[in-house]
Amino acid sequence: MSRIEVKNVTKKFGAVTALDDVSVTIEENKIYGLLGRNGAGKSTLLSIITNRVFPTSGEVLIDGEPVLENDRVLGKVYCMSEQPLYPESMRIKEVFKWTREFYPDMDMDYALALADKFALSTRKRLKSLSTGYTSIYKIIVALACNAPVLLLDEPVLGLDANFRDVFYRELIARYSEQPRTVVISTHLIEEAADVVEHVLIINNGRIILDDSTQNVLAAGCTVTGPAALVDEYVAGRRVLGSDTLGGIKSVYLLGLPDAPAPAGVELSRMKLQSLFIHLTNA
Amino acid sequence: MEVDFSADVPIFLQVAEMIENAVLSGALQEDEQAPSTTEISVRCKINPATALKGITKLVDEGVLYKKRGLGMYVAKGARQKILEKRQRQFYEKYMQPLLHEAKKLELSYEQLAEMLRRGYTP
Amino acid sequence: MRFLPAWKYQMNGVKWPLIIYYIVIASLLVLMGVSLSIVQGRDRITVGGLEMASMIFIFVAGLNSYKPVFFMMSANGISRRTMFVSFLAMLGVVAAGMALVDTLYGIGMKMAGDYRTMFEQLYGRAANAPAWIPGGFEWRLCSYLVAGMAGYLITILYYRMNKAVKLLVSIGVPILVLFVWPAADLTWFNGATIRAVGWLIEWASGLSSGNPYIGVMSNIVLTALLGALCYLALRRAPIKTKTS
Repeated sequence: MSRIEVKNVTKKFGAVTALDDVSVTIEENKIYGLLGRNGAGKSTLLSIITNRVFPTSGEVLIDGEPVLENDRVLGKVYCMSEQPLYPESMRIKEVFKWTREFYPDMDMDYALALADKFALSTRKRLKSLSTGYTSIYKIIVALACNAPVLLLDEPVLGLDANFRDVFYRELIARYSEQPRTVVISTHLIEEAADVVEHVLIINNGRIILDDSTQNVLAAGCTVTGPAALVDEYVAGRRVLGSDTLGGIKSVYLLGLPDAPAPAGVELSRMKLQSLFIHLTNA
Repeated sequence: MEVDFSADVPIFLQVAEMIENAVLSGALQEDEQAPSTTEISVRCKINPATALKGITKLVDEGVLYKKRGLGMYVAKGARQKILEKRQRQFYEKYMQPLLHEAKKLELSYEQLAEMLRRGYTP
Repeated sequence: MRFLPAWKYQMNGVKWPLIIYYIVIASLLVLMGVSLSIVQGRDRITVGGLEMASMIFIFVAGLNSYKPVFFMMSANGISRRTMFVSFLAMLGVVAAGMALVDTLYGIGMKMAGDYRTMFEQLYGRAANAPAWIPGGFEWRLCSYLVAGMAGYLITILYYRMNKAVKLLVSIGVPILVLFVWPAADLTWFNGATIRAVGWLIEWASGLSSGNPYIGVMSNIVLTALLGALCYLALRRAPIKTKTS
């Protein structure tokens, strides 16, 4: 069991509304992609779910229990965040040791094997780590701690392509062995697109899309052709945006038109990244 | 097995196709064990649920079958089945776009036929 | 409540400072003993008041027990309540341990030479007078609790203030206490308020009556008060870091 319910959560920082009446349910044992532009409210949402900051109003339940100051529920969640929460002078092996204290199900052998895979020396102190390795030690802790809920805020920050690859493969392998609830928030959408089963898009503090990746990808399409024909074809549809080059117009749609495309007009699917850009540009 | 999935076809279909191709080419023999959901999802970096969906489709079509406790195996006659299916799909999948493009480029029937003759060596 | 790992983590934070503190005290003792016996040619040691050093130590330990611990425990899914309870447990164990060591130290030193503990200086009770050994221990324990709690409260209050308020308090409070208050006291009250505070302190600590148990009681009340304030300041503290 590891289901997260966010109920009417609003968070204000002074005059700024970071989250505006957000309600969303994160089903257990699925991998979610939490996508949003900088400052859209992703980190704030994850911080509220883990009781790190308090909502101005609303509440978060995990398995039906409020997370507010609730050790038992908080112990089911591991949230990897960009924030430097670990003491700088701590060594990697001490981080692992303390993780096992706080998360008794932690798999130490796996953590050490993973450190090896990422070429991370466990004798190193946190303050000596580069941005990439700062992400890596947190990734290792997240994957090894065996918490039923993993919240990963920008897990691949500063990682090169090879290590991003290792990360996604390890995540999938761990997940297939032992399904758990995973939320990944990332800017590198295309890499995560095939991994996430469900997409949440957050914009200006509101969830603007909450659907399975499959449905989202099926709904997004690009219509390209002579401007007049295209305009006529997409009339009445939800247009996310458009580009014109010469007399050729491309229109980005959410929801395919029912009628087949007229001659001269081409339909193609949109990748998650383009869909995201068009949805959050407005 | 580095796979670059295109956006135009759902990934689970591309997974099914990938295994079909392996059977067609003989890389996967009949009665041989097919890759598991985990193997597929890790190597292609896709969600295990997606990989499972692709496998399930092949089971439904009789290309794969499940050996209890052992995993997925390629069914007898799978290659023939795939061959027939792909032949049926050939016109729609390849001829139609070909004809569409040929018309756009104002190629005549004779020109097309000539190209076919030139390229086809059985 | 996931108390045990939290408590272990709190204890781990003071383990090394504590060991180093007593190593330094022991070295100072040896150094002074040696130098005194050379200079004065006698084996009598006339130093005292280890309690003050211990109070400062535990005050600083309180100061350092908040932010890094709060961050680390938040990263590991520990509630603020458990954080606070584990701090109390750590403070209790450390204060009791230090009070015990300092009491034994006082007894030993008294027997070795002319050593006067702070307790003796204040209340005139010799450290090795058997009737006052428990009293001395309790007095130390409660004094250390107040010191640790005060450090903890100050650091939480600072954490909760924004930059402007922090600056205002850092400059304003010392000015108020060191200049404004004495000046106002002299001008308008002819020194009455300062005398009143002095009287209150002497009364509450049991100095005026010569009864250390009044001091013990006052310190217990003060600890509870500071602790309550700590919890109020802590219970809705958000995570604040440079990047967020």
